[in-house]
Amino acid sequence: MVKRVFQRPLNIIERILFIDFIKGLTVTLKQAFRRTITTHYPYEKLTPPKRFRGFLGHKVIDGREPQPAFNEWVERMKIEVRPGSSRCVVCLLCKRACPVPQLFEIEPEKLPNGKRVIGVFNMNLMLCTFCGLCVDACPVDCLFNSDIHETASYSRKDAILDLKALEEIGRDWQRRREKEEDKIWSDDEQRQRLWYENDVSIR
Amino acid sequence: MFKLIVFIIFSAWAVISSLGVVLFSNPVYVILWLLSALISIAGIFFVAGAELVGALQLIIYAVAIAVFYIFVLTAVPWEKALKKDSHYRVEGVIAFPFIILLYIEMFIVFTLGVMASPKKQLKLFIERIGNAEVVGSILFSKYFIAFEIVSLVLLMGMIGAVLIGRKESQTYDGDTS
Amino acid sequence: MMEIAINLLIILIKILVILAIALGIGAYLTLVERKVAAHIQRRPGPMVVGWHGLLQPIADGVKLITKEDLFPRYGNRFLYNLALIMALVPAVLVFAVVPFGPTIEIGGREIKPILTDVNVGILLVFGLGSLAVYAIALAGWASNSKYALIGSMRKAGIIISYEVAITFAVMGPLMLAGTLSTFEIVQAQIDQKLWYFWVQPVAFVVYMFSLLAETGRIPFDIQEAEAELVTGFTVEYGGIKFGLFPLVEWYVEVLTLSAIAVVLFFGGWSPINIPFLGFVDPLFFLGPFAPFVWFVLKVALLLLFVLWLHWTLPRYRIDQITAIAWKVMLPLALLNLVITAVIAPLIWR
Ligand code: SF4
Ligand code: SF4
Repeated sequence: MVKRVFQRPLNIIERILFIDFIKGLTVTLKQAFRRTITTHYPYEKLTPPKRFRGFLGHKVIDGREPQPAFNEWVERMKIEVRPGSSRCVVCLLCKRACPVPQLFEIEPEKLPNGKRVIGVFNMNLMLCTFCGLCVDACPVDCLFNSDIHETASYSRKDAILDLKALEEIGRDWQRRREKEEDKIWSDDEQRQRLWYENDVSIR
Repeated sequence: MFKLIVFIIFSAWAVISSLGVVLFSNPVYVILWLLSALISIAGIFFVAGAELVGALQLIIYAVAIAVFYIFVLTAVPWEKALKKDSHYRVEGVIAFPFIILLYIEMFIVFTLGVMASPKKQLKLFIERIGNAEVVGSILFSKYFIAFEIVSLVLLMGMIGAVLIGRKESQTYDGDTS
Repeated sequence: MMEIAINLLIILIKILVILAIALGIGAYLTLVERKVAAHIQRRPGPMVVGWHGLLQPIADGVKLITKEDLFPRYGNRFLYNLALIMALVPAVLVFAVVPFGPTIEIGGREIKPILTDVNVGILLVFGLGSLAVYAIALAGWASNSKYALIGSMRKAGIIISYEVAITFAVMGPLMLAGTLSTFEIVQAQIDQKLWYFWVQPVAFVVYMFSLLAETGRIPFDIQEAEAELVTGFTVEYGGIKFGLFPLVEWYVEVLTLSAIAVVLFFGGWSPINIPFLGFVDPLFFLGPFAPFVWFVLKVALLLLFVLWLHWTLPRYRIDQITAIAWKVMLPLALLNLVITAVIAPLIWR
């Protein structure tokens, strides 16, 4: 049932003395002399919450991989584990999950000893919708969304991330925010935390 | 001397804009020329020292009356504005003798008025007590009856406009059948 | 000959000062407005260009001037540009009859700080002020766009409605002062030791409503209601031409009408008034500058009030606006006029 709310019509005194105007004016006057609550964007930036979906990156192998999934996938895909480089096991699940699969360009590299490592991993972020489906699909917690959100660039070429850039973003992320509690903004203190400059240079 | 030059400028402006009103075919330009003519006539009044009449000319003619042409103006589509077949040529020819009659009458009244006050009494009067007061006192003493009748006519016009413009709710109600 | 030359020089200086005030302060009012709006919404407003954004109007001007000058394909270029001139000229001309202070003496010469003290000053203000409606209608028609046309028609309707109300509203103070010259109205208030606001509050309310309506301020900014009309009649204007319309409409006109309101209701350059008793002047230490400071102060306060209203109230519908004008404001103004006409002669004649 629709609940109808009727506004009480103004009585004659309120009409003559503009009481409703005065109420509104006092509210705005009070607000006008309070502290401003904005951040000066290019000079101060807020830290996005951890689940923010920014640029994508590759986490690197550092001993915190999800087990036993990682070992199983390494065995199945015959991957050579190289600590300090991308966790990717070339399963292509991310590409299958993506609504725009052609933005991925993934090719493994065959090593002489019969094993494989990830060789080419290009993502054309011009086409990406930042939906995060690829992140959910990745079985080894490799692909992830970082908090880098200033994605403007001077040429379209700059929007294509290659493996090196992705790993760079991943290392930076793991250093800065991996250990952080995984929750959305919940209190003012967290909301107002400023963002220090990340030290990845993708371009 | 200075006054004469300004007067000549304003009157030339008025004549040119009146010609513009007659000669242009685009209704929007015609309204603009009319506005220009009204403003220049207000200027002439100012030069002649009749500031009240000038200001009233500006307010009543240039704004209050000509503004109603604005609604016409805003409703004119471009294609219509460029057409030239909307002129009342025959009516113009018929109206011409009447216009001449009107001018002759105005001329007679004007000369009579000048003859009625030969010693510039009115001018002294104006200099002594100012413009608005003179108009007020003349209106409410010598021409009182005329003034009241005119205001009555205006009132009747206003009531008539309200009556005509009233929304007839019945007409819309019975429309569905 | 010398006399004429000096007089011409004085007039020239006055014109320059008034132009500088009208356009310079008009431009800086954009900054004031942005600051006020920002603080009401708890933002700091422009902060980057200059100290607290003080150079922002200049940056805006440079940006607008260097922009490309676009023109709608089927518009009328002559009228399109003429509308701009017709908006700017009357708005600035109105300043000619605003008195800024009492008569001062410079080098043994009495100078009235008013460009022309015509004895029908107030009528001129409203005559010239409402000429702006032509600019708006032309702008709407010449740019050949639906939004612009609808916006200009709404504006014309509003101006016609409120022009009547404002004219009757100012009749009250005029009747009390017994003159039409702006300079003498202030003088009369000083002589009678009475700001007309104390005895004409109804007229003041009607005046403020009409001020907001004629300048297209909220709650009467229906002609440029962004949600439905983009920006109303300025849609097709670009660059500095777009900048000039709001400059004229929102700032220069508000400035002139506030100045006239101060002249009519708040005793022009006189200090704070206690009705019928006299004037209290907390700024006496400024000596001969005090009247000018008072005038500027009052105009500034009224302007801030208008801005404050603008950033508080919602917007009325067009039919509500015209209904208020004809059904509430006009009868109120007439009633006020009648009461004043009965009572005023009993007191002062
Ligand atoms: S975020 Fe969405 S669109 Fe972007 S790559 Fe991943 S799955 Fe594809
Ligand atoms: S889903 Fe993860 S592991 Fe599989 S190819 Fe994509 S990034 Fe690599």
